[in-house]
Amino acid sequence: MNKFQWLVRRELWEARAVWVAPAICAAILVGGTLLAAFGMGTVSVDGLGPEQLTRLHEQMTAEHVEGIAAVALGGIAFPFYILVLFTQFFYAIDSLYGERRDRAILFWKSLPVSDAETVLSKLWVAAVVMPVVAAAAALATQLVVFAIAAAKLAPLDLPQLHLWAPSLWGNTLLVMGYGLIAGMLWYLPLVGWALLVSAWAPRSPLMYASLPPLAVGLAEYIVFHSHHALAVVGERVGNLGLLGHAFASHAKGGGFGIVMTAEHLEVPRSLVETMRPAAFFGSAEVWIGVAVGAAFVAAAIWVRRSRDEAA
Amino acid sequence: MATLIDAQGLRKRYGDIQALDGASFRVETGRIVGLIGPNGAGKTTALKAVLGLARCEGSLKVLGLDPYRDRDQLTEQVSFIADVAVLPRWLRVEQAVDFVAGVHPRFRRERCEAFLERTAIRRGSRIRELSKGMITQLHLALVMAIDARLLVLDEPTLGLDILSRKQFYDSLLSDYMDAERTILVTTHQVEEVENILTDLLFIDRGRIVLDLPMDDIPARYAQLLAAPGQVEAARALKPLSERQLLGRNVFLYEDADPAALAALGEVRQPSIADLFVAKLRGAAA
Repeated sequence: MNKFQWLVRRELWEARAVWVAPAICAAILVGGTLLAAFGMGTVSVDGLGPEQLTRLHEQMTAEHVEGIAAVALGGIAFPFYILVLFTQFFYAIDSLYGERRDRAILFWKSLPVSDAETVLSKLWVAAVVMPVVAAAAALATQLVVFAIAAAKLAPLDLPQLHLWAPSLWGNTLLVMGYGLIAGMLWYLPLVGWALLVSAWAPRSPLMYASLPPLAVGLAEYIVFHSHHALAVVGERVGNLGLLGHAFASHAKGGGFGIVMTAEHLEVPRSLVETMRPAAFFGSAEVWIGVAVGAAFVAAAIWVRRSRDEAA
Repeated sequence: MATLIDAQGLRKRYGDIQALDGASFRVETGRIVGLIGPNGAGKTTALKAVLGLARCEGSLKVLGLDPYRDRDQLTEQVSFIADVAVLPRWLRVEQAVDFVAGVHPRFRRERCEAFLERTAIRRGSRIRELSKGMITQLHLALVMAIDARLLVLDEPTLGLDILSRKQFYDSLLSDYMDAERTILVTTHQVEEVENILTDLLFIDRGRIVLDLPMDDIPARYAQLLAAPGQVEAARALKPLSERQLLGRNVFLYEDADPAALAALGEVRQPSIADLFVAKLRGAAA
């Protein structure tokens, strides 16, 4: 193993949230599925009686079923993608502050590891390892949940039901992989900011991380009565900004949504149709964000390097 | 003998405090140098300058390099123990050994393992589960297994009991020190390092007030227990300091005539602590 791999390994020894958080999320989803499949009696759909359901069932094609399955898989993956937003931010904001708080920084600095190598290893864990682990956990959960569903539905003998269709899983992997990479780029400024504040804050980095954007937003409101700064930050922080840029969430049929009434059934053929890679990777906003993130990371390296711990 | 550290006119300000005020000293290869001074004298600042952790004015070369600018090149050659309590508390013992072995090209794992064999430290323990003495043993095992040219120790035995402190210095001398290595140590417990140092550096208010090989102490410094009736004569020889001990007057002299002192009472070699008090009182006057 080379030095960088050891540094990443050290982070994984310390930050168990990297895998504990997705594991808990997976456990909840699988537990919920088991409960729904075998614990409770029947599944009912609001507003639709047995007759209407039967009619729906009759007009359902294999394509419809695949669309519904794709939305279900997306629904399983979604909480993992939301969760990783929190874990990577809290990991990054504690990483460089934590080593100062417990004074272990003096031990780390006694070893031949540069400040750049240290900060980049933490960036790698927050920006790449955590999302990849979360996506892998999402995939594992999808497989388990579908296996449970297959076991539950097997006695019903539904000919249209192809839970393991290669097209379904291929498209799902494509969407998840695209979402993963888009998320890494989109959230880089957030992770970089967290690392910078973590390297610099004299105490409570979380407070120092939130104050400047709030102060800028307040100043802008007082002076111009506008709130562009907060809008920019808000778009980065939540997941709506990413979804809006990387996916066409308002495509026909509500994008990710399924329209199901007694007379009408509309499902997206696949979530791949909602991907907007050309717009996303061609967007200035994305690359400006990446540049800002890189600048924050460079600043974090500089702060860790030049910070003179008080005697 | 090669010069390992060459510091000339080091200055460093922290706000209103002049931590280093023109400190100059040299450290040669193969020496064990004690940097001794009162609280706030600039000891830690001087060590941080040597380690490249703080930027200073003045000229400073460690192994011929500027420690602040070339820090990344020096970290392989220079190891340090800043304080016994700085090992990360969440780390396991085996992880600490694996990690240092992984990132340090000059770490000799078998030496570290051999040292740990002689302790009661369990490999699976987390550092927070170890006693303070054990943490020191572990830290020392890690550092002593590194083939570094310079080892810097800042109050390495702070907060340890007498037994652990003695073990620490014993291992340092018997298992680590050789002609190629150099140790720079600061401590308040001067009596503990008295017998292991080869050189003394006294620092006070950011300046070096004494720079002396231990071997030169007997030739240059003498302590006199003045005989009754000789007190005035003893004062006339301009001692560095005078104090009362069990009703007798004790004087400490720098570069005094041994024969003249012998005529006035009992002459002894002063301890580092006596010398420290005398020199610093002199500097304060």
